[in-house]
Amino acid sequence: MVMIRIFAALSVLFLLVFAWQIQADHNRSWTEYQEEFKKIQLKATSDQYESLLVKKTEIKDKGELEKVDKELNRLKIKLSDIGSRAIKIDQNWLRDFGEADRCVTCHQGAEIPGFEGKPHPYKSHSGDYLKHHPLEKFGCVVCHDGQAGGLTVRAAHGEEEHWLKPVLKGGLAQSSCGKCHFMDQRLPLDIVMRGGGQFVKGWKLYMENNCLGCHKLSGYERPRRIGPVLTHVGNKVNREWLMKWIKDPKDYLQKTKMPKFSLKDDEVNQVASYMLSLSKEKRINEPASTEKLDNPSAIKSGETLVKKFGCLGCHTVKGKGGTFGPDLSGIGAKTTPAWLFSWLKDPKAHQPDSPMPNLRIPAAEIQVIVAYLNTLSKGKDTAVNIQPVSTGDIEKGRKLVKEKGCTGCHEIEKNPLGFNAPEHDGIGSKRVDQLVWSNVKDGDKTLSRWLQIKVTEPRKFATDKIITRMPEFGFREEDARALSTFLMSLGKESPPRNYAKRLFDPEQVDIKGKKLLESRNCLGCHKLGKKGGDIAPDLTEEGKKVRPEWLFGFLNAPGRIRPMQDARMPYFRLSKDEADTAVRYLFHIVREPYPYDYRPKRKTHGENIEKGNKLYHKELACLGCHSFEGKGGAVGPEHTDMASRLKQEWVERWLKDPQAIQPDVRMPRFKFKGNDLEALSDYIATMGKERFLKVE
Amino acid sequence: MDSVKKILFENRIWKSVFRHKWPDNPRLRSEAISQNVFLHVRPVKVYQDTLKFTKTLGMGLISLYLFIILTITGILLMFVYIPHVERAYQDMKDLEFAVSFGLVMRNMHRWGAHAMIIAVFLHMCRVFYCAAYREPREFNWCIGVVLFVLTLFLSLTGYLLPWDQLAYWAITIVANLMAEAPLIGEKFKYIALGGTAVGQNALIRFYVMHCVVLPLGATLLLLVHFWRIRKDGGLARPAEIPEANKTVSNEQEEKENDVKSYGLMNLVHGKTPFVGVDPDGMVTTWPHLLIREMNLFIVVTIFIMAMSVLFNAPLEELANPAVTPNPAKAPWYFDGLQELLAWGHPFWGGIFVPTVYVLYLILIPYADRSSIGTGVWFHRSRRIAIIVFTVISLFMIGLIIVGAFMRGPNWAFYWPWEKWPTTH
Repeated sequence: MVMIRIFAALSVLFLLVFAWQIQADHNRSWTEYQEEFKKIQLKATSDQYESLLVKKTEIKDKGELEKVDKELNRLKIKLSDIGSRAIKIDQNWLRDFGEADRCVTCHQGAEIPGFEGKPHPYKSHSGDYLKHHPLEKFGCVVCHDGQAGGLTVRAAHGEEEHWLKPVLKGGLAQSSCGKCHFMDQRLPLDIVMRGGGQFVKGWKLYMENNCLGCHKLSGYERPRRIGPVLTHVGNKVNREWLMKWIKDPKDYLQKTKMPKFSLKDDEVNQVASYMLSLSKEKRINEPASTEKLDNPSAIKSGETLVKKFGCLGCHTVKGKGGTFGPDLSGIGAKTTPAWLFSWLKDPKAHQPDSPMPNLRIPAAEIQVIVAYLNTLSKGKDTAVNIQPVSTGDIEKGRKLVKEKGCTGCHEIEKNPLGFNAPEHDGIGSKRVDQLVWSNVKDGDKTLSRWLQIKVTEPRKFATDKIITRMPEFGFREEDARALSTFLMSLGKESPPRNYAKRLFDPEQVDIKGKKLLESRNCLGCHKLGKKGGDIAPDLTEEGKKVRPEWLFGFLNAPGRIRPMQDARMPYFRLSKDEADTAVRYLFHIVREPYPYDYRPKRKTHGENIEKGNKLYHKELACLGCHSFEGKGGAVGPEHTDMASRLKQEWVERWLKDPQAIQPDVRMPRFKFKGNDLEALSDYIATMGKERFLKVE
Repeated sequence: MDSVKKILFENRIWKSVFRHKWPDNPRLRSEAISQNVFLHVRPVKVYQDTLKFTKTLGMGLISLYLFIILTITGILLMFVYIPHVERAYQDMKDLEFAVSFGLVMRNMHRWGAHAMIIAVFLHMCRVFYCAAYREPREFNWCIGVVLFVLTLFLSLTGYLLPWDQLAYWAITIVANLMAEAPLIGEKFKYIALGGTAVGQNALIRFYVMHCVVLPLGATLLLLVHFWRIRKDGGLARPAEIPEANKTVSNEQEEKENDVKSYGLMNLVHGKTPFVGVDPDGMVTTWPHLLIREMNLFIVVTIFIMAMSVLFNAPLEELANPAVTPNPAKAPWYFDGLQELLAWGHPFWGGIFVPTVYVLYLILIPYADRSSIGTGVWFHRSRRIAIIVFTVISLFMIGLIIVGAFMRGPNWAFYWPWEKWPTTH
């Protein structure tokens, strides 16, 4: 009967399809990875075993032999354990996150050290991340995203449709650092987060470039405006320079943080017209005379003074110097001698928030410096089209300044702060399917790439309908990657309770001090550890050397200590709190106790003082180099107030071997006999206005 | 060989289960049917001409088989699935990745559900085109219409359970559609969802409806449906009996039936013109009908199994009430109604059209009083009725095709091969 035959054929077909179904269900790629890792691990362990066996033959010591046998036994057990391990789905149940993390099913070596050189997915995890973030608590997904429950390569890495969080590879995974480790805006910019370099770099760029000037972000306050006050800019710069600057700031100052707004020529003209219209009143102190301006010898000595006074700690001139302040190589073309004179006289009078300190330079010397600076002008190529000014232009310029967000960084008139740009809260949770790519057609459509394009070439996303106000900051590729890493850390989800943990406390003395030193660019001139300039004394051991109340006083009103040194400590107008922080910090880094113990460290006798006196004045003739109350040499530092400046312990250490502390110092190394050193130190301790020694 | 057979099939246990020998003569074949609880819903003999595949295309049976497959796979899925908004989606993922045969079961369930809607609809079309709804089968047709609606709602309630974006927004749209009903619309939506929006309450309600209420209702109606087929004399056939024999007295019938149908047909009163008139046109159900049913069942199972290996059921991202996909679409079988929404007031598309359509279907057997052409495909005398039914059906199908495949963001028209513009 034909139906029976059909039945038979269908039954066979059914069995085949059923077998196909079983095969499809059974065929899972993770089993292969697990088998492979098993092989790798078995080989590594048996290699270890073999080499230990060879080593054993050379060992004679009984105790040692016992140890080796024990180890061999352990390896044997480990081998059989590995061999008998079942192929099965491994997972970490992350209770606090409500996720089953099955990544370890394939990434079997993640937690086991020794597989660093192996390819993915067998490789051990890099760094010591897992030590602080144990897998059973954090899994992989908390930092790396992706689809934790997935068990195929594509699904697990979230690289499929309808999974919004693709795996974060490489440094991008550091965007997860920010989920739990909030970075306070009061932290120093060059703070180091071990293993979080790319994330912190992004944060630094974010702070440095004042993204908060236009973008709101909760947890962060709007910072001080990083650009100068522009209300009186007409006193400072000429129209041509201003227009060139607005058109392309990087053309004049390669390292400026001012971004390029890509304004059209007439817009440049309007903005310049508006800004110049603001400065009607003259606010500059003219120099006494202008005759020195053309004098070649004045220019020459101006150049010397610029070097001597330590201007190059912050500024660059002709390719040399620091980058904290603006490059001065073109300053002559930018501003007038009168303005420069007035500025150097008292920078805070012009820009109350400027980090530029008052260098207390006498007027005559300022004039010489101005003469020199006035000669510095480099050629620029930006062509600008200066047009006659109309009131309409000024109005349009005012509107542009508001619209483009200039007030995010500059104070202009009393324009209120406006957040012109979208908030950054939750930007890290932006859905990939809701990003607008406009003209970008090719390549990966990931959030990180979108952000990278946005910060480097914001206009790529602009169309007729979509206005992009974001200017170009000239970030390089790695800057963009770092910035995107930081931005992606700004997600909507907050970590479970007890997971949020600030790694750095901005109130802690080492952090607070570092931030202070950074904000005044102390390391532009001073050295601290291995970092810093060599214009001013090394501060590494300053905490060991000086008495805190002296340092505090010095920071408030710096005086001259070394007559031979031309660079002078500027007057920074530190607040009491800041000066205190500086003192604490310098003490902290050399582990000096603070507050300082003022009680005399030891008793001494009058005869000791006498002996010291003799040593100081006669035998060693200290005043040959040092001066005391106006008398003496000018080679070494001033001794008038030395006793209240230096700690006695340090004085003794110094006298014993000055070159041990400062190898290139010219101070001779004296040979002291008996209690000579003690006597001299005791005498020195009595030299100051106050005595820190108990004399019996 | 014989002794092995003897040990295997003639022991007490075997005999206690199977009361008779292998049915190789008509009497045993009849017994095999009438004494088996599962088989006795069939007559012991059937007309040979009704066994032809082209007579029915097997659509009713296919629908039943899909229902059985769906019940089995559905029960298996219930062992894993937790109807909770924080677990449901995760369970879908676990089914896919961690549960043995989880993905194939889900795929079979999904594709089976879609296939069942199509099969039930085609079954209805077949019955219409063969005029098989006519007296005495009018009420069975109505039960069939109700079963069709139940099938749609079974599929709809199951649609929400994966708790992904597709599910969430499809159900939101259907719920809003239903809210358009006058007077009771809003209330009905509130009761169905257990609130004003799709959430945990809606999920558990849909789950209970999907797993308990609707399957139970469908099973009951199915039993009535089959019982009626049996009682109404099997499949509708053309009246080809000589006039003289057309009406048979009950007495005569009983006598005949005692010989052939072993008393079961006695229960049917009224006209039973087909039984026993032409004994040569009948064959025993065992094995002629059963083997065909069995073969069809295997074909359906193979088809669904193959589909489940080849294609994965869709699963989008986790349901997110804050993100509305554009376009958000109802399940495909309601896309026609959704399409109508774009045409005018929601009442017409959402309530009026489906209500009128169901009423039309129910009224068909009562409006048709003719008896010419019963059991014949596309009988000439029914030309107008066939054209009307075909036009209405094609219109509904057309709406679904447009709604499902040709509508893009903001419900704008796109050809299926056209790329949608990126939104925002």
